[in-house]
Amino acid sequence: MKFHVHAPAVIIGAIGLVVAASTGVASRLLSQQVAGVEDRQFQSMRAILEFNLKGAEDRALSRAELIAGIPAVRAALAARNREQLLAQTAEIYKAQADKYGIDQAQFSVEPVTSFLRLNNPTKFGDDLSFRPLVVAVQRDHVARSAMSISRSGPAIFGEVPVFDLANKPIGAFEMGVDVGQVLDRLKDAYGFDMAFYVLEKPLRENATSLAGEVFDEHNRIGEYLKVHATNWTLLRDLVTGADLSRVDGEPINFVRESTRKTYGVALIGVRNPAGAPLGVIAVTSDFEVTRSAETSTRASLIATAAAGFVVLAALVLIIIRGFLLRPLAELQALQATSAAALGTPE
Amino acid sequence: MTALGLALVAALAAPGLPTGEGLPIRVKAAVNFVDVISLNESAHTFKATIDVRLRWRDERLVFRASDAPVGFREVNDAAVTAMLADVWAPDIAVINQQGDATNTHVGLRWFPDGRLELMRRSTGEFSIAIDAHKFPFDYQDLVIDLGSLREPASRVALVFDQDDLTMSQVSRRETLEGWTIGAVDVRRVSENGWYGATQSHVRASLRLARDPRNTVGPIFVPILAGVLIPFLALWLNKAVDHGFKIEAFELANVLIGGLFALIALNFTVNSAYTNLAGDNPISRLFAINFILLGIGLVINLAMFRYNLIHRLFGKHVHYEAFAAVLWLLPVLTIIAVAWVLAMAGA
Repeated sequence: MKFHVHAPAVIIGAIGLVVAASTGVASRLLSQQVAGVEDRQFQSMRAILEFNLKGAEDRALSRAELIAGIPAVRAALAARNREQLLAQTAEIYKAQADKYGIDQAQFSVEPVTSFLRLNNPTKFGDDLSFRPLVVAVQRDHVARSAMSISRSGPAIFGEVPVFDLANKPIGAFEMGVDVGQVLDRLKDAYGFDMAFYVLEKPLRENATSLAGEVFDEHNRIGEYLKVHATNWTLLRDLVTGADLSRVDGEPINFVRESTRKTYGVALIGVRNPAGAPLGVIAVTSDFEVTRSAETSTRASLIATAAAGFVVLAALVLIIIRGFLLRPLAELQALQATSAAALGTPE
Repeated sequence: MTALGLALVAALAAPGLPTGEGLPIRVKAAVNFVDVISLNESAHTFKATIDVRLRWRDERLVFRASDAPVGFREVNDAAVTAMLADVWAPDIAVINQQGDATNTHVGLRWFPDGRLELMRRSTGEFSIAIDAHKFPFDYQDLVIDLGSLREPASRVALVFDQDDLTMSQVSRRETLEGWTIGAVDVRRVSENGWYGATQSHVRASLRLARDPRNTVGPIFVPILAGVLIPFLALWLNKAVDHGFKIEAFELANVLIGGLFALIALNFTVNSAYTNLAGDNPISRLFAINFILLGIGLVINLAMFRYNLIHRLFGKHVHYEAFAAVLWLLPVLTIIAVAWVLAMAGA
């Protein structure tokens, strides 16, 4: 081993290893902490969405129960008097639609047939056996709520049985809350940008009265159609068809950039009452603060470690070479010169 | 009757709020950025042509659908002013507008069910907050802040729905030199009003991302060239047995000249970009430059003029210390510059 070459290299190498290891450990800890924070953020996003969807179901159910319980409404349905039923409920529905996000309302009678749509009074008499919610309520006479696709499009439905004045079951009544309005309110309250995607196939098959613009090409993402988005330009950047296809049961979380800003995206699958996939709701939140803090901290960590390493390396070189190796070399040179002058071996 | 009396009579005769659907009156707002003309960072303003659409319903203005074959009645410009003198309209203004708008066109559509749609296109200057702490890797939000001038949120609430979000876009994406135009984000905000009340605002923000390549020539190249000046003062010299080859005086000239050049560059950049007063990557690069010049002066005095290292530790340490300084300072500078750029991108 040549001391003057290997000693500084070994010492500097050891310092480098220690600094690199410490930096690596600190960086890993930082990543774990940030991942933990982001996980909790994703959980919050999902919890807020699920809570509000459940709230919308409860609202739809409670409104449906109120209306279905009105004696005049029960009598009109029992008498199969469509005009009377419309007269009793049209104004109520209008107020609900204008102010409270009610999108659809429908009376159905056995055998699972549409009797009156308050959102579209001219369309009635069609078969509703494709609606698991209506089928279940008419069969069991128990109120239920769920998201599903009707002829007028997807909504969050509260479905209740209707009884005549003698308490005999005569049909069902549902009120549908507009999913888009729920998402808009969440954006208002929490600043999340959200989108509701529905599988194209069941939407085309079932929502035959839905406005055609939903089926426009620019709304298509893979197998899904965008039905509502609070910021479509942003969501189009963040969520692809491949992302939506991966949603199956468990929600999917990922982080992505758009216009130099970092967003956390949670994709939550939605199913109809029969358990069949219906669509996906995407929730995005600004993760810029967390990611920016992580990047800043990591950059400072690496810069400090690198600066410390080079300073220590310089000090090692100055001390070992300046105090030890150079003086030794000069002594050896002097010795050689003296020996040569005296003519004696070194 | 006095002028005051006439004004009072007129005020009392003015149409009141359309309270048929209860309070607050929901006024739907949308903002479309038709053209972003310019951005004045020094003055914290931007000039743009915008469309503001307000929609609300007044049940007192219901008329027969047959009276409007196209589905609505429409009036423009002066006729709008005349009509609005007799009907209630929300007193919504662009809160952050500076001065008067120009090229103003107004249109009002009036639907049989009492819905009104007021559309206003205008060109104006709007104030914004410029955040330069990541300059030149920053992004800015061009904000249009709509708010009610008088009515609190309990009486007039600004809201938006999917239709408004669809309209709230930017029409032309290629207009602003040096910037990439992003998406429009719409949010509801509450501001404090009088006597504990809140006022409802809708804010539409258009995101711009700066193209940093425009700053490479005028800013980065001169600053990074300035970093070479103290290195030059070191690299030109050479250690000899009892000191250095070049006198301290000559190299001090280089350093002082560099200092004045840097001061002039700093002044020029701050004059051209007045938002760079605080902490941002450019001010940090200038700080690194000034620190390096200071270190260069200290080395010049301590090592070249007073030969301190030689006197205190001998000639061998003198040689090694000088050799270390020649590479240590540039490496530390590279680390510092890399850190500044990494923090800017965070």
